[in-house]
Amino acid sequence: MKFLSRKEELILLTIWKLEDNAYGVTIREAISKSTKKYWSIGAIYDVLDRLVSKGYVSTSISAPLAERGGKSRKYYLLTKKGYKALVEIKTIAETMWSDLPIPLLKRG
Amino acid sequence: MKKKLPWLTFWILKLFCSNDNFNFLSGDLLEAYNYEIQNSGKVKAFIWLWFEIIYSIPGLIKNKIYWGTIMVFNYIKIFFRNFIRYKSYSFINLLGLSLGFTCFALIAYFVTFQFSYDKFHKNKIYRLTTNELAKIPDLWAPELKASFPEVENYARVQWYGETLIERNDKKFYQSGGMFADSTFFEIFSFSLLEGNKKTALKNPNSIVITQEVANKFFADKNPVGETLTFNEKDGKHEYLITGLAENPPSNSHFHFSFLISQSSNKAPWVNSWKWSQFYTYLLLTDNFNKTDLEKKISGWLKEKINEENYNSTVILQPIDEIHLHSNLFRELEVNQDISAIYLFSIIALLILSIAVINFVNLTTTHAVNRAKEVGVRKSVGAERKQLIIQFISESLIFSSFVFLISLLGVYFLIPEINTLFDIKIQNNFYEQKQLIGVLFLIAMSTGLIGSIYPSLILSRFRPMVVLKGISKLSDKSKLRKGMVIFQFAISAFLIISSLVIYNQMDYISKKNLGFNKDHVVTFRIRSDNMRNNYEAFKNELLSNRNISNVSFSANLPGGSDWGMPYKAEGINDKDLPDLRMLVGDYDFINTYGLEISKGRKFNENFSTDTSAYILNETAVKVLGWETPFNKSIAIPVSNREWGNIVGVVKDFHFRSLHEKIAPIVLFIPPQSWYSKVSVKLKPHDLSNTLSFIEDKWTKFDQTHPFTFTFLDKSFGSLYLSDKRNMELISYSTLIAIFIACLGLYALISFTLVQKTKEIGIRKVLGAKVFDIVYLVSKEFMGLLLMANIIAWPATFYFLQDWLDGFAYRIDISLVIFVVGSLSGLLIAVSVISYKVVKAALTNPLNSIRIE
Repeated sequence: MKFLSRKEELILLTIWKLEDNAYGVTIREAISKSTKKYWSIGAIYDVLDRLVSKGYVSTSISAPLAERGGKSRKYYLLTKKGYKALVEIKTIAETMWSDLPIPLLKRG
Repeated sequence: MKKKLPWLTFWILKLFCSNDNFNFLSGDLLEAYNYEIQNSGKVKAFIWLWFEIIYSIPGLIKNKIYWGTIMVFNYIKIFFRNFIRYKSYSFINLLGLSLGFTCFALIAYFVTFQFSYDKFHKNKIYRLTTNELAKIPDLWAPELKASFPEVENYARVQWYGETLIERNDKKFYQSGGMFADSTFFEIFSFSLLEGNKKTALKNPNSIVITQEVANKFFADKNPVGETLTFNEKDGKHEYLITGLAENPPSNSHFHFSFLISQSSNKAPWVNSWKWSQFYTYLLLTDNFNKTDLEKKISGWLKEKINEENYNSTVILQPIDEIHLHSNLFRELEVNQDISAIYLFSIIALLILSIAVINFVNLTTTHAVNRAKEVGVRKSVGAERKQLIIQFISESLIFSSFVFLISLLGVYFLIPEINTLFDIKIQNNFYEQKQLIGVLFLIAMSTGLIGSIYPSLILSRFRPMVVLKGISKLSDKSKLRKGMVIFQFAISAFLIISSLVIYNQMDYISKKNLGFNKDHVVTFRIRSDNMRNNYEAFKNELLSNRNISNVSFSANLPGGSDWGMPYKAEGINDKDLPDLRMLVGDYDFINTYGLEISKGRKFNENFSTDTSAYILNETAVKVLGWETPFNKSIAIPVSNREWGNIVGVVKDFHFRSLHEKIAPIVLFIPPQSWYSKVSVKLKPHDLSNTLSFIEDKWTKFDQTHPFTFTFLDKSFGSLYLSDKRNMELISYSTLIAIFIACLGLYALISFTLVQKTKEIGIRKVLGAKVFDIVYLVSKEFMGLLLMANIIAWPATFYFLQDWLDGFAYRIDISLVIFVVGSLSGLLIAVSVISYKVVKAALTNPLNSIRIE
């Protein structure tokens, strides 16, 4: 069983959060805001393509828009499979976190 | 609001993006860019955009590679599926290309091996020769060193000749020994395993042996410090072993089995200015001009030798060019003729091109079967570029297989090549990284070239058309026809050439040489006892009914004739033509069955005949003597006074048929010159007669074992390289025809598949089997005929050139061309008709029912 990668998880969560308004520009904006890190558009598309191929998101294409130079938007929607994958990884993380002892930390 | 991205960013994106993503991604970017312009102004937005693009590139590349590899795996999968689905096609294609490529690789390896000769010497060594002879006299080298600053050092070698070596109870005949200067191991890079490089060959009676000899006498023991005994005609000699050398590598132009210090050489030609017996190698300083130095040395020699008619010039040969470029009289070993190397290379290229053409043809024809796949791929969005990449990568996978197969093939075939060419290529093919690299590149470019045309054709298919099932490839492809013609032209060339070469070799072996070389046994005299009592030995031999003649001689027909300065009555010394000499006793002419055309044979009853001479017809012509019988000849260097000419012998071929018959003189030598015995046997009961000779031998020579050769066998060795060329060409011919026929077979099968329906309908309408066979094969026959016609002139030109290398040759007749072409056609026809007749015989019901 292969788990979601962290990048995939973050982008899936963002798509979920954005509901029906998840496309390249908004996803990047939202994820940059919540992670406080810079995400390049290329990095996002790399992950998005893989999520599509694994069936975690589905896509729909809008009508051409003037502000995009006559190009369409590709909207992403979370699928049931994607949702399950997210839940699964969350459960695992919680289980792992739940029974941890107090850490013995060395001064770094 | 901007309508477009700045053009440079647009193109960068396009370059790194897959087509599908590009639309959305550029839209996203434009949207965000417009947003930035509104918020932070044009300049900042522009900087932002560039920043964005540059940061996106790694992600985009990663994405591209990720999907790219997925596609490659798909291509590989499809490749194997197709390979298994069309078994016979794939097998034929793989077999043809692998066979062609293996041949090519083998010949390439052989050729590189030939070019590697003597490259292992670390020093830049030159061999000094004259323009006629590979050997020069003893004294030249030391005197040259003293007078020319360019000459740093020198090493001379001289063959020792076969000898009987003894140690305790072990006895072996050993050939390949040499006298060598003490500088031998400093100048050459032959490796010395035991002993001191500088001193090993210094003292008299020291010997350096190779592993070959050491193994015979000492097994694994270190032989240095031991002694070996040489059993010579003049008694036993002891030599102290001072070194153990590695066997000379096979890519050396000479091979020695042992080396004896030059200081132990007591031959009469030591310390001579004129007696050429030494192969002389010079170590020269770096800065000199070769032609200038040659001129200088020639001039210096003329002065030193100071003789009126002395006019030979010297040549400096770089050691690594001797094997391929030197063809002087009395070379150390038979060298390779560079023109044969070119011939082999051309043949290799021809075979490779036949194989590649096959590959292209088959892949193109096979494209029909892939049409549907292309249609499906195109309708789900494959671009032409992708399809081209797919077919090219498939063919690269294919040629990598071919490459691997041929590597294996070469490995197993090198021993065969070694026996075929009678050479010893070390089997270090896998260490030849450069060669393997080059072969790999060639294999890959073969794959590339082979796939460009089919991939262009395939990718051009229109999905609508092919999916509907109209998948007929145009039969009018001129290129494909041209390639078939080319293939069969090459095959015809090879067939006709091998026929002519075979005929010429046959002519040589059957040509009347002017003397009888069959059933003549020759052997060397190895003891003084036998030489001194030669009359007695002869009589003992002649007592056997199956021995018809016995002759003692100093040399034999077949290349061991001599040349010596002589004088002829009434002719100025300067104008004397070169005269060869064959020297034997009174029975020499009878033993070899030479025919006398004028005068008489030597006769024991004439006491003056010991100083008499017999010329051949050519000699009489060259000397310009209309009536030779009142003329006389003298050979002062061997103390022969003027003697009369008593007879003229008919011209006979005492050398190979490559050479014109030279003028020759026969005379009776003093007894001390005899070194060879020729015995003419009657053809029956050979083995008994031979053991009889051996019996008699042991009576006169108890120490030396009896060894002999048949004369026709040693004559055969004169044509060794011709024989090899012939074998190589006939093997190549077989392979070329085989590959070409494989291609033809596959081509005809595909044509038939396309014509299945047509044949069926024709049969229903009343066509006979013959009509159908004619219909289908007519086109191919036309191509084959044209191929032959094209091949004829080139073949004719090549063969004329090859035959010109023989002084005695057959004429090329039209018959051979016709026979060669017909046999090629016949093979092709049988390949075609097997398929065609089968197709024509099928029940039309089955073939029309298809679809």
